[in-house]
Amino acid sequence: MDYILHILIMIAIYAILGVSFNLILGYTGLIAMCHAAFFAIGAYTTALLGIHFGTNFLLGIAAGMIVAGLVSLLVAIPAIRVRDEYLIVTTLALLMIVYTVLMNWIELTRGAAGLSGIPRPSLFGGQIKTPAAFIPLMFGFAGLCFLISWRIVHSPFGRVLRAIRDDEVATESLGKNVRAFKVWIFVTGGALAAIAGSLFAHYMTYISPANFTVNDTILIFAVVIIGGTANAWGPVMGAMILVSVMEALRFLEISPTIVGFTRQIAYGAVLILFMCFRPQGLLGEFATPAKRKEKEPRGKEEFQVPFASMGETDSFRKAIGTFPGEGASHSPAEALLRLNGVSKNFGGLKAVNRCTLDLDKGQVVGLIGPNGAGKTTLFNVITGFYSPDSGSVNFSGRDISGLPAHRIANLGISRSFQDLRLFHQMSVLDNVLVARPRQSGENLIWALLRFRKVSREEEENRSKALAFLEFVGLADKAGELAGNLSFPEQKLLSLARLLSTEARLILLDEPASGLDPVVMENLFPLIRDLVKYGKTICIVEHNMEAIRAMVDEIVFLNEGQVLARGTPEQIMNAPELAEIYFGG
Amino acid sequence: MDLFLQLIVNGLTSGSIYLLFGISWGLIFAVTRTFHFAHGATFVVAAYSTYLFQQWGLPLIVAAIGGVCAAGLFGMAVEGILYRYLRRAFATPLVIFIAALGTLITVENFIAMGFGTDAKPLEGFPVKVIKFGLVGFNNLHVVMVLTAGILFAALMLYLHRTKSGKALRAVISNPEMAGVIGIDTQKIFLLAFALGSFLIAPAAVLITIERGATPDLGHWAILYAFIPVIIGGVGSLPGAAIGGIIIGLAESMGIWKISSQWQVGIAFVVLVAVLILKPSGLFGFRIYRGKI
Repeated sequence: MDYILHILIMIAIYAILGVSFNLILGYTGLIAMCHAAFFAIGAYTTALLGIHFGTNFLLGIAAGMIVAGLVSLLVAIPAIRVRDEYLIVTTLALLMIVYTVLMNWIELTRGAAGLSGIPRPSLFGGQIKTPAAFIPLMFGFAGLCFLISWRIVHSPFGRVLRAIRDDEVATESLGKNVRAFKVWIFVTGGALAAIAGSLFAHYMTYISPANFTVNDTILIFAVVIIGGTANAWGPVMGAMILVSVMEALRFLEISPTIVGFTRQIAYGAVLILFMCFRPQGLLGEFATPAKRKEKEPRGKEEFQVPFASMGETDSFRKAIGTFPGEGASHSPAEALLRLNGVSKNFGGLKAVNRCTLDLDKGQVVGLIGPNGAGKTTLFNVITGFYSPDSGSVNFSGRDISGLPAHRIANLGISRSFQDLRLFHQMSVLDNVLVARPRQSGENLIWALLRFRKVSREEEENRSKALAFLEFVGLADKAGELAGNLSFPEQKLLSLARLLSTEARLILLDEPASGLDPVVMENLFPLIRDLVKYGKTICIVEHNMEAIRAMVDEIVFLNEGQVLARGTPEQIMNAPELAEIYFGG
Repeated sequence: MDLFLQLIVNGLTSGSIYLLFGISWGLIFAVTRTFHFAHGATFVVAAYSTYLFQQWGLPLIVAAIGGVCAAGLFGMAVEGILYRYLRRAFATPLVIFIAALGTLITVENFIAMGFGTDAKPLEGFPVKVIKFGLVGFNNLHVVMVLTAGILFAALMLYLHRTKSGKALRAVISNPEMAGVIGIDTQKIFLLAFALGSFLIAPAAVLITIERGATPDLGHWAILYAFIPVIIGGVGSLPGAAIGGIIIGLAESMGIWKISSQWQVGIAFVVLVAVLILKPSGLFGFRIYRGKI
């Protein structure tokens, strides 16, 4: 009987590890190799405190969480700065260092001999000794960790995590500080793993470095992968399966070393096989799995947007609102956006070359020019994805050159992408919801504690998001995965997502490409009408008909400079411009 | 002064091994953008197949050549069978990474099961100590430095002088464009894996001669393959080579003051310092998180 209880306790511990790692790997898509190190830090911290100072185990758990949190912060800040691959390397190194410390700092950790005599936890004056007494404690903590993770992933914070996993650049363009989100979740996952470590130490009363090797990280990987990434119940199921199999292997009459190898081989093989045949794990993220990403957008014939439903509704008018601070800080004499001698070079190539350009509030301006004229680069400079080499960008009277992209987005500039960059593994509604500005639930602490306020806000954002979907005629697809929409539908969704940010200045990168004439005819007046709501719009487009239908003015860009500016007629009838445009 | 020279010599010898790790993994990563965690498995395959060939009675040099070939075949098999299949299924980098991780674990433990976990030495290399004043090293160290230098030079010549080498560089700088102008990227990927695996194998043989092979060396090798690439800058092979030498020297200098058990710590400190001071690596160009 005790043996069965032991198995249940181990399942609880691995469930905590899996649930916490799922936050990092499954929901955010960060690959970290050091989860066993956090497990170890929790175990050793609480064990040392218990042995030397007789600290209560609850304090020990808290201390373990703090130490693990601090270590993860130290690693995350430099590693998450640049590329995701760097995190793999840094965390692998951290895992090895923690192991080295455990083995070699003999005075503290007693090296390979390990720590023994870790006191049993005591609660309410009584000591917890038997497995039966441990069960409520273990399941209590496992349940707590599960609830925390559940709350996180179902909050606006968790929605941003999934957006980051799907497309970082797009998330940044919606005004989310991607790096901060990643650091927060990495630290949270590390701290939760430390809880498992503390419980493990108090339950086993003996720990040694052998409990916390690379193999244990792999085991945690397997727990998450088998159960199913980004599914709250996945790691729980993974823990149940793996722990049971692990224990069952003990009964085979082979030497324990061989069992160890067989187990590792089995984990390795399971990882490979799952990746090849069921990458989403046993329980996938969705009830109906997403279609695998298709290289080519599907044909237009599948497109059936009910045009009747496309357009402005009362709820849309309410939702689109006006940007706060409108008018007060902004004098009419000044341009909304002012580029002053902006240059951007790539090696020897001057993509944007001393470009000077003003956009007044309420204008719709088309940006045209031959390929390589620097149109998209200019967008990237304005939105902060590239910082200008020289010159300045002023928005609403404020110098924004050199600000990070998410800050600029929060000031009220939003852009679309040629390749849309939707969050394919998220629902249509979530794509629009994640773009809503100033969500208090995007603060991790608030998401966990201020339940009421966050859900009230969420209610409001949801109805606004639906209004934007109605505007583009996608309201009845709100529950579908964005990746399953047809290409024109995705295009419309990207417009809804853009509007949802409440940006004052909207930069559209080729809004007409890939749309058929019927859709265009319905869409263009709608875009044109956005000016009524205080929007200023700049459009990069090759389709001259589209440009003519939408814009007041055209700016002709060539070799990174403004060559001409005027009404569509003036520009389109200038023979010298046509010659440049068509490659004379 | 003598101590200083001695530390430099030690640093250069271990640095030349890291150089081979760095350029071999760096080449694969630069060409295929695959985070090839199973490169560590290639390392153990090379070490143990050389050991096995020697057990069959082959002389060391023949066994070593056999080991190099086995490593090349193994690398090509991983790419040709596993990665190619996953890429066809539009797998995300995460999926490919986990499959690679699984491969490393499986191979290491199969080897552990077959050969045991004790260190397996290679015999037949008569080690002779060479002394210059108070600075001492042995002929194995000379072979290490020479092998690394010659292989690096050969790789550079190959990449710049031959047609297939130029194709490799074209894929490094722009895979889509390379596809457009008619370079068969699948073949180039396979070539990169073959070359990368050939390049790590001599390092595996030399390490095995020096201190014997254990199955868990794969982890160690993969860590020391990434670090030079990051220090040098992703996409720059000379950068990876210099990164390897830097790590070797830093560890050697560090051991002067700290105990050798903390070696990993030194490499880690250098890595974090580079990440903070120059995130794109010493010779890398700024790489954006994705094409915007």
